Formats: sequence, C-alpha cells, structure tokens
Amino acid sequence: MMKVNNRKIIASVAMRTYRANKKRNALTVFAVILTTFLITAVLGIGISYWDAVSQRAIRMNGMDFDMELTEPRADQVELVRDMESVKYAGVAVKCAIAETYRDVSLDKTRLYWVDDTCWEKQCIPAYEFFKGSYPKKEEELVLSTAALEDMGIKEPEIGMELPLTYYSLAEDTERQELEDPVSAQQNISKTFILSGYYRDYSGKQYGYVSQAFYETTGVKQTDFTQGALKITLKKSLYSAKDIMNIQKPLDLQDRQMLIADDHIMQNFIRMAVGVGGLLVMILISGYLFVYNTLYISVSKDIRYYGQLKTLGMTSVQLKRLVYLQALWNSCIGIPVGMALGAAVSAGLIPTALRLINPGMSGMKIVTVHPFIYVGAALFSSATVIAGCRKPAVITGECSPIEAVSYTGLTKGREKQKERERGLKDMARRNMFRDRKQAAVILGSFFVVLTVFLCVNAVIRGNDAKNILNQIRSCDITVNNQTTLEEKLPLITEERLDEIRAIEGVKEIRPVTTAQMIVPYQEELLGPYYKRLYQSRYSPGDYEKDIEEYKKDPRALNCIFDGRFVGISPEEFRKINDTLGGNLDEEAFEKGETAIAVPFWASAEEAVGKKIRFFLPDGQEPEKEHEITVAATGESSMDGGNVIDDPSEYSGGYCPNLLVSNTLAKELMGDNILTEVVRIEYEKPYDKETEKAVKSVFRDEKQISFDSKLTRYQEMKSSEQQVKVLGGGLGIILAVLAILNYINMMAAGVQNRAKEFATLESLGMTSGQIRKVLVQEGLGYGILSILLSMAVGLPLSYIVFQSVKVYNMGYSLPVLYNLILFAVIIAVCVMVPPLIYQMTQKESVIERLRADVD
Amino acid sequence: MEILVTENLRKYYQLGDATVRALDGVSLTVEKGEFIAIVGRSGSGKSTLLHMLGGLDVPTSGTVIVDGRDISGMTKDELTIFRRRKIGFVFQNYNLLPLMNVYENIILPIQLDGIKPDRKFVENILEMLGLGEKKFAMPNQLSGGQQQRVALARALAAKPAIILADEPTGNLDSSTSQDVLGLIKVSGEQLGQTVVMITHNEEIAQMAGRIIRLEDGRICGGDAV
Repeated sequence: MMKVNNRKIIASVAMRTYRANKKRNALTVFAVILTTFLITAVLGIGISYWDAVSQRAIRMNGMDFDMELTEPRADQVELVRDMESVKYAGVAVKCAIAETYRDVSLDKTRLYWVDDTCWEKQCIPAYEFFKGSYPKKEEELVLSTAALEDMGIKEPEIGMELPLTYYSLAEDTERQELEDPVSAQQNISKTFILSGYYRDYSGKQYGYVSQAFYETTGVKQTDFTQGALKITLKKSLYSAKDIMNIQKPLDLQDRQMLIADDHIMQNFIRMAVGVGGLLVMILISGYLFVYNTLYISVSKDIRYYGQLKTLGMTSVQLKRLVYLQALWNSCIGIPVGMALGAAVSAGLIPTALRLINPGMSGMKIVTVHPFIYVGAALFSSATVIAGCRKPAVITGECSPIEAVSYTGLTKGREKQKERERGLKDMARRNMFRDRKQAAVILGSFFVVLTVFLCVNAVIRGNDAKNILNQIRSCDITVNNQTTLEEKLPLITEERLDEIRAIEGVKEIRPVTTAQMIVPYQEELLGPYYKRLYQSRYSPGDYEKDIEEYKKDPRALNCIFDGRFVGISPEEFRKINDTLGGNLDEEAFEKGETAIAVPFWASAEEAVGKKIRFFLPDGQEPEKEHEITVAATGESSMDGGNVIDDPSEYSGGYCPNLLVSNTLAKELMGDNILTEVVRIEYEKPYDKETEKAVKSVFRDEKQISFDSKLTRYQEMKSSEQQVKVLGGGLGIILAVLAILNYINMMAAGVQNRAKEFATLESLGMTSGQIRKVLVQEGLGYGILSILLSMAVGLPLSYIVFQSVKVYNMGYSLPVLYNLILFAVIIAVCVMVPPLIYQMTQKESVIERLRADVD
Repeated sequence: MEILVTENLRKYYQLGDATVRALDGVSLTVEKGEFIAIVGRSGSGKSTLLHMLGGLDVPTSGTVIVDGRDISGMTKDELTIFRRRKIGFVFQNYNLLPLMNVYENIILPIQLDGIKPDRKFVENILEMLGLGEKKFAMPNQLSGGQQQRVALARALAAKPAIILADEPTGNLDSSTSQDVLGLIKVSGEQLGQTVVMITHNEEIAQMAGRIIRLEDGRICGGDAV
C-alpha cells in the first residue's frame, strides 16, 4: 500500500476547525489551565503542608528518632550502629534534675547528656531554632525556651550565669535515699553558664549538659530509666519483624526494652489510604474539569466529524485532526497552568507568609517538586487527549450519516406517558437531557466539593489549637511547687474565688493532695504489688520489701505510701466519662466511694473493696479511715481506660486515691493543701483571661503555670506556616470549584446557543430564558451540594480518620463549608444568565445560522 | 388594510473586504389576509427579507411596519413578545426543540405568553396535519416531513395574524407539499391570517395570491404593492 501524504491537509483542516471554534477552545484551554493548576498548586502546597505538619509533630516530640533502646550497654551501641538498617544511633542520658534557679522553684528541669550523633542528627532537626553551641565545659548548659521561661528568663543571652540547685540521678544516690533519706539526694548548688538555647514544641523543661558535667553526676547510660539509645532507621517504616531483627542480636538484659511502635506500618497504610484516596479524588477532579468541557459539545463535534467522514476522511485521519487540536490546547493551557501553579505555590503563598511573619524570610516554605510539574503536564495532556478522542471514536463507530445527524439523545420508543408540561419542566429536562452528561457535570462539581470537604477536615484536624485541645485538658494549670516539701498554702480559697470571679473563666478544677499511709492489705492490693514487682518498673526484691511493708506501712522511706487526692465535681465527671460513666456521682461526692489510680500495673482486685488508710497531715493523723474503691484507672502499660491522674506529684507505689474535695476537706480540715488548679476559659486561648489568672499569683515564685496559650504561642511560626499552607489549599480548592462551575456553565450555554436562538425566535424573552437558566444553575448547585453532603461528608470522615493524629475527634468546619456552599449557589444562579447575556449578542438569525454553519 | 410594510429596506454584510448587499432597498406592502409567495434564486435575499419581516434580524437601514407598528425601534424583548403574539414562523430546518415532544413544541409559544393552550384547536391542527398519532413523539422520532408539519402546527397553534414560512415544503414530497400548502391557505382564509411564504418552486408559488420576485436583494418582478 502506498503511503498517502495528507499530513498537510489534515493540519490545515485542524487549524481551520480550531480557529472556527475559538470560544469552545478558549473554554477547553481554561479547563486545561484549571487542571494543571489544580495538580501543581494543590499537590505542591499539599506536600509542603504535610511536611510542615510532620515537622511540627517532630518538634512536639522534641527529638527525631524511630525506636529507643533503654539502658544501652556500650557493646549494644556499637552493634546497633553497625546494623544495615540503622541510619543513626545516639545516646541520651538523663543525669540530673534542676530544682531551683535563684529563689525560683523549678518544675523539675531535666538535665540530659547526649552524644554528638544524638545532638546533631536527632535533637537539632526537632528544634524550631537553636542558638549557641553544645556544652563543652563542665559548667556550660543548653536550655529549652520552656525551661528558661520557667526560670523567668524571657530574653536569654549566651554566656549568662545561671545559679541552679540540682540533684544527681545516679542509681547509687537513689538506693542510698531509700536507706538514708537525709544524706541522700542532697541538692547541689552550681552556677552554670548558658552556652545555647533552643525552641521545640514539646513544652518540656529540658537542659543539656557537657560530658564533663555528666561524668561528675555518676549516672551511667545503663542506669535504670536514665540512659537510652535513640535509633533512627534508614526506612522510617518498619514492621514487627524489623523490630525483632534489631532486637535479636542485642541480648537484652534485666529490665532493658526496645521501645518501638509496632503499629507504625499499619498506621502508615491507614494514612496512605487516606492521602491516596484524596490524591485520586484530586486527579478525578482534574480529569473531569477537562473531560466535562469537551463532553458538553460532544454531539456538535460528532456531527462535524461526521461531515468530514462523509467527505472521505478516515478514522485515522480524524484522530490525527483531533490530536492536533488537543496538542494546541495543551500547548497553551499546560504552561499557563504550570506558571500559575508555580506563581501561587512558590510565590504568592510564601510571600503572604513572610508578610505575616518576617522571621520566616530565610526559610523554605513551599518545596517545588519538579516531578509534580512533569506529572501535571502529562496528566493534563492525557486528559485532553482522552476527552477529545471520544467524539472521534464515536464517529468512527457509526456511519457517516448517523454521525451527521447525531444529537446525543437516545432514540427510544415513543413514550407512552403523555407529557404536556412543556415550559414548566424545561430546566429539569435541560439538566438531564443527556443522563451521562448530567452525571459527568454533577460528578465534576461534586468531586471537587468533596475534595474541599476532605481537605478542610484534614486541615481542621491538624490545627494546633485542636491538637492542643485534644492533648491538654484545660487552658492553664497552676501548680503549687511546695506541695511535697514546705507545703505552703499558696492556692488559697480566696485566690480560687478571685479566679472564679474573673470574667472569661468558665470552670476551675482545684485538686487537693495529701500524703496517705496505707497498711498492707493482701486481698485489696496484694496481686497489684505482685504484678508491679514483676514489671520492668519493679522497685526491687518483692519478698524482702513486702515483708518490711507488712511490718510497717512507712517502711523503706514510705515507698508504699500514696497520695490522697481531692477532686472537684467537674473533674470527677471528666474521669467518670473516661471510665464509661457508670460511677455514682452522689456516692462519690458524699465521700462513700473513691477511684484508685495505680502505676504500671493493674489493680483491678481493689474494685468494690474497702481500702484502709491514714492521713498523717489530716485532722486526726492516727485515725484509720476507710472508703470503698468504686473503680480503678487502668495502668497505661495495660492499655484500657487510662485516666490522667489529676495530681501532679507522685507519692509511693500505692495507687493514688481520688476522692471528692468535700471528703478531703472533712478529713484534712485546716491542713488541706491545694496542689494544683486547672482552669478553663470561656474562650480558649484568651489572652486577657490568662493575664488576669496569672496576676492572681503575681510575685509568687513557687507557683508555676503550664498554659495552653504559651504552648500555642511557642508554636506560632510553625502554626502560621501550617495555617497559611492549609488555608491556601482550601482557598485554591474553593476557587477551583467555583471556576469549574463557571467554565461548565459557560460551556453549557455556549453549546446551546442555537437552542436559545430558536426559543427566542418562537417568542421566549431573554428574561424567560434567564429564568430557566437560573433554575438549571440552582438545580446543579443544590444537587451537587446534596451529593457532596451525602457522599462527601462520610468520605471526609473516612479520610480524616485515616490521617488524624493525637486521637482527635472529627469535627466539621461548618462555617467554611457553608460559605463555600453559599458562594456556589450564588455562582450557579448568577453565572449562567450572565454568560447568556454576554455571549448571545448577535441577532437571533445570526445565532441560528452560526450553528448551522 | 396594510398589515406589512417595508420601506427602502437594506441589509448589508461585510464579508472580508467585500460588502454583500443581501437586501438593497426593498419596499413592499402586504394587505391583511393576503397569501404572498416570494421567489428568487439562492442568495437573492428571500430568507433575509423574511427574517426582517419577522424581526429576527436587524436591517442596516429602512423600516419594517407590522400591523401599524414600526418594529425597528423595538427593544430585543419587545420584539420577541411582539413576534410570539403576531407572527408564526415556519423555519426551513424546522427548529424543533429536541427535549420536547410534538405537543409541547406546538404549545410552547402559547405557554410563553402565559396563556392556557386551546387543546381542542391544537388537536384539530394535529389531526389536519396527520400528526394525531405522533402527539407525544419526540422530534428525533419523526421523519423530515413530519417535523416540517410540526413546525407548521406550531406556527398555526397560536393563531397569529401573520405566518412567515421559509420553504415550508422544501423537505416534503409533492403530495405532502400540496396538503401542507392547502392547509396554510385554508387556515389563512379561515382565521384571516396573512401568509408570506418563500419558495423556489414555481408550481407552489402559483398557489399564492401574489408572487414577488427577488434578485440580488431587490424586487425585480411580481407585484410589490
């Protein structure tokens, strides 16, 4: 067969067709721009958003590592470092606790020594900033901004003197403490020099010391609970098998543990499914943007290709004609879309962020991934080709004459049902004239709306305020630092009344505590102690210790005492909710029942039994009291209903006893001591209320605050980044959803130009046509909103569940969604008549002819 | 009584550098109840004249007076309302709405005016045109001739004063053509309607009361007055 050279004529026909369809092609190009922009901007910003949220999670954790080996031996450290799967392994040892700075009581600032690997590869990456250098000399110290703030230092300077008292955490000292508490745990005074400071979002008061200082403390990395080997893996995703592979050769001894998250793979898969689902929906939206625009005029194209076919154009030639036009549309739309995507994601958003926070001027805010741009270009081209191919394929499948008279309406049998509604039903019939087309149009509206709903849910879930609300039970915690030692009544009834009177304070939950001596009670706590001594946190020799305990409840420096904790009715309700809400509040308030909170082991046998105890600081120190244990919080090691102990200071190994404040007052009398008060504001994060609360305790150096607002403010720069990126993502999706509506409506009106001209020729006024168009637009708007509510909301719930962190509850950003819905309805109602008015300017006959031509 | 008057009607189009004179000074008067045929070669300006008479197109200059009103001064919507009340159009290519069945297509102009259609009258027309059984058929289920008859039924149903028909028998066989023309004529006589029909078929034109010949946008034969 001889090859016929017809490329030139095909190109020429294609060019003429292309030029003749200027308006149609403009809409297609616009759709291509939308699709390319959607993928480049949404994925670019989306990935950066995800990076920012992950970075924030690392900063909230305070260190970047995958697993932890407790109390590592030197040989184990070497072994781990040599492992193929391990990227870094750094040693961190908690060696001392700083207690006071000048005359300020500190909230136990933990001092760590870490090796170079841990510092450089695992600590620094988790900090928002670090100034200075890691301590080299014995007196040098690095502190977290949280620790500095606890000392009252708001503007730290490198080289400043820090007179502190601290005690060592060496095991020898602790053992000595049990035997001779007076000489042990002596606080040492030392003037440190600040060699550096950093900010993370853990809110923890941490300090880092030099190797020279660490050696003076006598703590060893193998000391129980003090030393740890932080392991960063090459692949941060690992399975239970990987954990075993690392653990096996380590020959773990005694109470050593390899702490790893064996759900990490499952969690990742869960998250990947959510994010993947979102990505698929974004791609579907992008596909439908273009496909839709082309599909609306498919009948016209088929008739035109049919004409060409009658003139002898083959299917192959038709396809070439189609591809050429698709190529030209892509050549205009894709670069413009990419440029817009780059301008918004790498230009507009970072600029907006730097304007809000000039401190971020040097930071990389949006990472431009070239693969996104290449992917977007390929995807958009493929979509255009797929959309254009359709009419060519249909034309190829039917005879030229069938193609010429193609209307897209199904030729069915005559309908038996008499229909005489005519004008009244016009809008509905127009919407569903071609069911597939209606489905495609509604699909495109609905998918992008659903993506918006999902992204909004994810953004809301990752809002720092929501995360902090989830992980913190109140706005501010006011802590009496003298609770264990001097026992000064710093949080008095008067002060509590003063707080209650502050406008903006919603609820206060004072917690009173006192030492509680509990005689050995076999039936009640025997099994608990057995379990405790079998656990990793075993205090020592079970037989020996319990024998001593049986003889004297105050034995071994009161290691078997507990805290008698009085709580408010509000606190009780919170705890009761966590426990399933089955407890009798009245009995609790009357002082008939208590809740036991054990450590590290379950104390389930105590439930329903009466516990006997003494209160050495109470009204009658020698009197034995008893109360029924109504429930126990499960140990965190066993899972189950873990309840947060409302008291901050721990006593001995006996479970703490939560009772009503009424009972506590009755038994403690004037000696009652409020250890901590938790305050909730009417408006969370309210600065004025917080200022007023803090001023109640002004000049009180032994009161410390732990505030949600302070924590939030520390996260400010990261939060601004997360918010601007997330907000940008939401706005872009909303704008795209609206632009897509406009484009679809424009394509719809454009495609029906002849029909409108016919209607006008028959006497339909432009007002009547506009009314029908408004009804149609309203129909599309309402239907797509209903669909996105019916399918999109459940989907957004599923996506949220799969990507959520911190066990947060799903909540709907009602206001944003309502605003978008309102805008969509407004667009749907206003745009079609507007486009009709703008485009149908020629005389009726010109428009009737234009389509015939 | 004059129902249609054109005075020095011109319609010029710009086609590249050349000016096409579709109508070049047409003056015409039609009396109420007349049946006029406009004949002429393709491109002579027949359809343009008909569109001008119906207010579907705007003249470059000159006036069109329908039933005593100069329609050139009317706004777009005034023209549309005027058209649906006074004029019944029969398009060469039918211009039926694909989403509406035969009956709905026919009653649409009446409904647009907010009037309840005269069912009996419409059914009579359908019967006369042989569309009784196709009342609820969709346009794409009809043959060309049937569609032409629906277009005619639509023009007659609103009982307009003037019927403007562009090649109403162009797609019909000779027997149906005769039927349709007979119907137009009878209906015109019964309702006192004025009919202006375009045709290139001399035989059909002979059925009209008056024939007007157009050539190059001018009246060149027949009786213009």
